[in-house]
Order: sequence, then C-alpha cells, then structure tokens
Amino acid sequence: MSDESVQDLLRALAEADASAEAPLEIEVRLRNQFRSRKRQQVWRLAAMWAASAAAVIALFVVFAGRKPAVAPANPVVMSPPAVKVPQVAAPPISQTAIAPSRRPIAVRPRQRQEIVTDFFPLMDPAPPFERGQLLRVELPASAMQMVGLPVHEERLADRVQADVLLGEEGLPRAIRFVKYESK
Amino acid sequence: MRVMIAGLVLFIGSGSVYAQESAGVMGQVKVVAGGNFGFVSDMLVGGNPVKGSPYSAEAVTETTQTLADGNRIAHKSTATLYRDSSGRERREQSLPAIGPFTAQGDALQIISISDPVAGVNYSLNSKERVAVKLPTLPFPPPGIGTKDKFDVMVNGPAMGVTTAGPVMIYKSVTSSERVAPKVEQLGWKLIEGLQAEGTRSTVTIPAGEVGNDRPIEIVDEQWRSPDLQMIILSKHSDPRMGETAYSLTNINRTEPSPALFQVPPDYTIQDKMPMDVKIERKVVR
Repeated sequence: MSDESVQDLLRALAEADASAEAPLEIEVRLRNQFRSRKRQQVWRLAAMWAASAAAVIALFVVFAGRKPAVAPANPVVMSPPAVKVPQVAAPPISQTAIAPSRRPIAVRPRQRQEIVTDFFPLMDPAPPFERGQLLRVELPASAMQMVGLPVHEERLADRVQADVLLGEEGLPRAIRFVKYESK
Repeated sequence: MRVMIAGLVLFIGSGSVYAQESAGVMGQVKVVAGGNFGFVSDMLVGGNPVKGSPYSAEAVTETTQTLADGNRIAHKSTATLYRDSSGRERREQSLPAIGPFTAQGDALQIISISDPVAGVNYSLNSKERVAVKLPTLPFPPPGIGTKDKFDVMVNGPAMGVTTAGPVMIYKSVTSSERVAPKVEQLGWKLIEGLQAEGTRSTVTIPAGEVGNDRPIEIVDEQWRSPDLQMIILSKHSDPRMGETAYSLTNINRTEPSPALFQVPPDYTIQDKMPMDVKIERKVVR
C-alpha cells in the first residue's frame, strides 16, 4: 500500500468521524473535573496569600514589641582595639539640622537577675554560727557535684558562681550556687 | 545522702579553709575535688552590732587532719580584726583556699568593712582599688538563739547585681534532728586578759548511721567573752575532718583609727545596694 492510499483512507475516516461526538456522560464528567481543578487552584492561592499576610503581621508584632538591646547591668570592661582607627572629622551640623523629628523613646535597660539555689550545708553537725563571712566566689562546677547536684562529666571544669558562708573560725558552713538571667 | 556527706567531707575534708587537691569515690559516684577559685566579693554577716566595746586583735585558725596512715596535714591562717565604739567592724585576711579550692594566683587579701549604723558592707579590692558596697544582713535574727534552727530570707539584696535578687535562705543545721547535743558548762577562764565562759557540746553519731562501726563524737568547745560579746577561743573536733582551733590573740582594747572603717579616698565605690531591701524572717523550731 502506497503512502497516498493510506492518506486517502485516513482522510475518509476523519470525514466520517467529523460529526461524531463524545457521549453526554463523558462530557459532564470532564466539565466537573475541570471545575473542581479550578476551585482547588483558587483555594491554594487564597491559602498562600493568607499565610504570607500572617507572616508579615507576625514579623511586625515581633519587631515592634522588641526591647532595644542595651549593655548588661555589669558591663564587661574591654580593652581598646590594638589597631588604631583613623579619626575623620565630621562636618559641622547646624542646630536646625539636628532638631528632633520624633519624640524620644524611653529605653528601659535590660536587667540581670540572679537565680540562686538554697544553701547546702557543708558541715553536719556544724558548730553554732554566730558571725562570719559570705563570700561570692567562682568555682569549678565540680563543687556542685560535692553537694549532690548532678553535673555532666564534660562540664566539671566549667566555672560557676557560688556564695560560701564561712564561720568566724574560717570553716565553710554552707554553699549556694548562683546563675544570672536577663529579665 | 551518703554521696552528699562524702562531698561535704571532701569540701571541708582538710579541716578548714585550707586543703589539698583531692578526689574520691563513694558508692557509684566519683566525686572530683580541687581546682581554683576566684574571688568576687564578700560581706560580714551575723551578730548584732556591739557598741561601746572597741578592740583590735589577731585571729588565728589552725587546722590539723590526721590521715589513716598517720600522716598529718596542718595549716594556719591569720586575720586582723577591728571594731570601733559604734559597732563598725573591719576584717583583713588572706584567703589561700576555700575547702579543696585554692586561690587563683597569690593568696587573696580580703578586706571587709561592716557599718551597721549606715547599714552597709564594703568589700575592698586593693588590687583594683574598688570598693563593692553591699547591704548588711542581720544574722541570725534578733531573739533567736544560735542553737535554734532558723531560716533567714532576704528579698532584694543580690550580691554583685543591682537588681533585686530573689531569695537567700540559710538553714542552720543542728544535730537536734539526729540527737540532742550534750552540753557542758566549763566555767570561767582568763584568756588574753579577758574573762571567758566556756561551753562544750558533744554530738554523737550512733553506730551504723553513716556506715560507721562505732559511734562518732563531734566536739565543739567555745570560750565566749561577755565583754567583747564574741568567741575568743574555740575548738572543733570531728574525727572525719580533723581539728580546727581558733583563737584571738594580741587583743587591744583601745579605739581603732576611724580611717579603718572608711573606704580609702582613692577607691571607686561600686554601689550594689538595691533600692528595695526587704528582710523577712521565718523561725522554724
């Protein structure tokens, strides 16, 4: 069969099928599927927009409510940098130019609060305590283990702060441990 | 509890503020001891202000611990004490160790001034020329005997910070929960030119309580001067830890120089006094 005869046959078949249509049932199912897909796309788009809007609002709330960062109550004294930074003279600013455009914002300093444990007795029984000294010291964390507080093996050499109560004669009577937290 | 007791014994195992590096095993828990300590600040606590009885003296503390093999560990430390007529006190001492922890570098020179009239304590740092100002803490509460069990709760003062710290609780541990101490009056004795009244209290830990074969006797002997209103001689003996002897020597009853109770003018004062100091006392009998 030549190519031409095949093409003739196909053309005849196409003409014969030209008036043929899909059954009504299939058409209805196709339309329903199409509409359902369309509806899902709309919902997906709406959900995406809603999520974006929520994220923007959340970010706004976080940044608006955030306290300005300030130096801690007990600032660490830092040595000046070893490299000298060249000082550039700033251009003179006229008084009118520095007129405040906004109301000043009250800055509340972030406070350090200390959290302490109870005192752990170091003598049992102890001689009567009349007077003595309360020493704030830094100790290795192994001191916590000595009074029965759990310390991870790897943290035994870490430094912790503690208050040690010494009797008049110098005997350590009690100890408590201190931790600082920002309020 | 046994682990805790082992820890306590290790902490003060050498008898006093002096000790050597040590480590021990009790039960299943390895207790690591030793290392350096760094000084931050200090304050004098306890006792009611004593007015009209000035003095200056040397306080000597000697500790001796005899080990199982007969070896002995002995240490001696001294402090200089002053008190003026208005009840202000000053204490100068070196602190080479606290329990098993030795001072970083040279032994620390600690100077404390307590001014109950002004209600402040100063901790002087002679190296950095800084005086840390702290509130005084009445301790123990007035009217409570030293043998009572008491809690002192202080809301507010937090050493080293400007904000109100939460709570300070010190529970005085007495042997009364275990067994009442046997108290003997030792009468009067002249010590360093002062009449002193002696008391000996003995606490016996019954056999088996801490794994001991035989009873353990812990003896405290104190000689108190009613004139100075303080202990001028004491001895603490605990077979688990050794002996600690404390005595006041070179007692001078003249008024010390007022300059001793003031912060030197070249010092910078770091005010750690919180604004709202509130002291609550709770007596537990």
